[in-house]
Amino acid sequence: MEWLAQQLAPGLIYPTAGAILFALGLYGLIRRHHLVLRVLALNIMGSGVFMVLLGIAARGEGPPDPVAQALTLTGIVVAVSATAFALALVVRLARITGQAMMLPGPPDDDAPVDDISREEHAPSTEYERERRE
Amino acid sequence: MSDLLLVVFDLVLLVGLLGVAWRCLASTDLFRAVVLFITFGLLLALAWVRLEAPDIALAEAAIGAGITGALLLVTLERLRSIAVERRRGRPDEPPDPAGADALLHALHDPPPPRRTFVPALTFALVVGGLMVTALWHQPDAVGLEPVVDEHMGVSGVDHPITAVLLNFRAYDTFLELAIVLIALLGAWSLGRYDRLPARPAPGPILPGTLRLLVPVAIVTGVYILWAGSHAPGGAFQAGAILGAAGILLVLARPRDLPMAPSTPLRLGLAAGVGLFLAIGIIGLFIGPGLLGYPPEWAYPLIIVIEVAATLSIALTLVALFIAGRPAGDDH
Amino acid sequence: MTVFYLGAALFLLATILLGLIRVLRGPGSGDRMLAAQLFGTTGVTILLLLSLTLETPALVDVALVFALLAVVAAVAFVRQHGLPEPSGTPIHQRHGQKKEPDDDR
Repeated sequence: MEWLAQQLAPGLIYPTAGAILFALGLYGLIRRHHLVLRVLALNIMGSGVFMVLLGIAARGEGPPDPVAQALTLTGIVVAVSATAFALALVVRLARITGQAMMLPGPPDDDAPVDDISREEHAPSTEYERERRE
Repeated sequence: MSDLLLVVFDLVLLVGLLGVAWRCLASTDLFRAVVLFITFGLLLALAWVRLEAPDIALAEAAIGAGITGALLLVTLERLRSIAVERRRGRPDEPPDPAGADALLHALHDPPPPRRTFVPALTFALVVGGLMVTALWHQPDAVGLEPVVDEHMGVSGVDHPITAVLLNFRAYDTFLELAIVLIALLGAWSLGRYDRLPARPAPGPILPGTLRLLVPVAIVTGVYILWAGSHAPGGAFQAGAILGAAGILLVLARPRDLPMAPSTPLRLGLAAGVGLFLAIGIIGLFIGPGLLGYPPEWAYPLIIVIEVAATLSIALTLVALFIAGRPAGDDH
Repeated sequence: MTVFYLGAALFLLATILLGLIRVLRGPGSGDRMLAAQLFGTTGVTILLLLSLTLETPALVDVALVFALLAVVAAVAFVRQHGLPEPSGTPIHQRHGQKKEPDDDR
């Protein structure tokens, strides 16, 4: 029982969960195409990092490490402003190209047909017309 | 007994967090992903509480509940309106008043192609596995807590995190304010603000709610700013709360966004960085060094910096929410 | 008493996880958003209970901020969805199908 409680101390399970969150966000970042989802994935990765930092800071006896907490606070504010900027970029991209997806490369490459995002983007958007000229 | 309950609480919370993050990133419907992300923020605040970090929980509450949710929702609204405009403007097809098709694709991400599954999973597993292994083998360290504790006397404040943020590691905070400002400049460089699609004039409920809420939010923001010198709180949390109040006011406008006159707005946006730097340079001559203060002056100087930083952060967050520089000052 | 508070917090956390079903299933965006708003209220209660058990009075401030700002997302939502449910949500498009093929992977 005591052994189990030791293994499940916040200083251990929270950093582990943080690492899993980071990996999960990374997975989503690679796989999803819509840029808003990619921004969300990046945010989840960031939250994982914060959780690792704070989890390690909370280890051991006594009050947690204030420097790690201050660092995380700084990180949260930077993350939210970076998110706002990224979303502004996504909206701008959508205005120019007509979609908020990662563009899957030039139209003449031999990407497999099952790539739905590519099919959707084939109809002539401004961006496409510019590229073909 | 209560220890056991806390362990169960931790486990349920973490399973919930991971589950919500997973479903969020697996959503094909973007709106659902955003709502799940808002829920994720709430659970995250609870996790910060369990990690003895009430300051972070406060920031997460203000930013997660007040800023990010609204920001994501308004982004979806903008994407949808762009899709509708394009749909209407396509010459070779009859205009579709609902723009249903375009709407569907604007806020919908098809399931990812199967060929990325194995590489993405392998990569994530390797990275996550390495992190977990490293964390499990990391020796316990005391950290910097004793050092901070020892120097609290010269910091000018009673709350260790505020002392670290505004005195011991002031350059972090200074550069952070600069980054927030640069993010706004980046957003402004993309063009003037987008008019949001026509909104119905608010009914009686919204203005009534705002009349009640915005003053309370302002009082709370000032209180959190004041609390920062001796308890969890401070400039970021206060700035985020005031920014959320500003976002509420922006949302209440029927169509046009309120924009302050250009010069006061810019001065307010730069006040945090500017004042911080000015005081920091003065410290170079009469104090212990760049961004340092003489101990007897530390408290008033920290308060001045914090007030300016709160104002700048609040204004910047509202401006980032509006995205795009104010109309009518292109020169 | 601590045990009681903790048990109550745990129970409320479980209701949040249960409420996630509404967020995941929908069907309308209103259902999802309303569930998230409910989580906000539950979260405030959990914070207050934790503040008592962990003896951290600062958590009351966190609860206050949550209670105050939960309305921002709701206002952002009703301002864009002030009209009837937008026809753009995937649910509406596939009306008549038994189950969304890719929505619940």
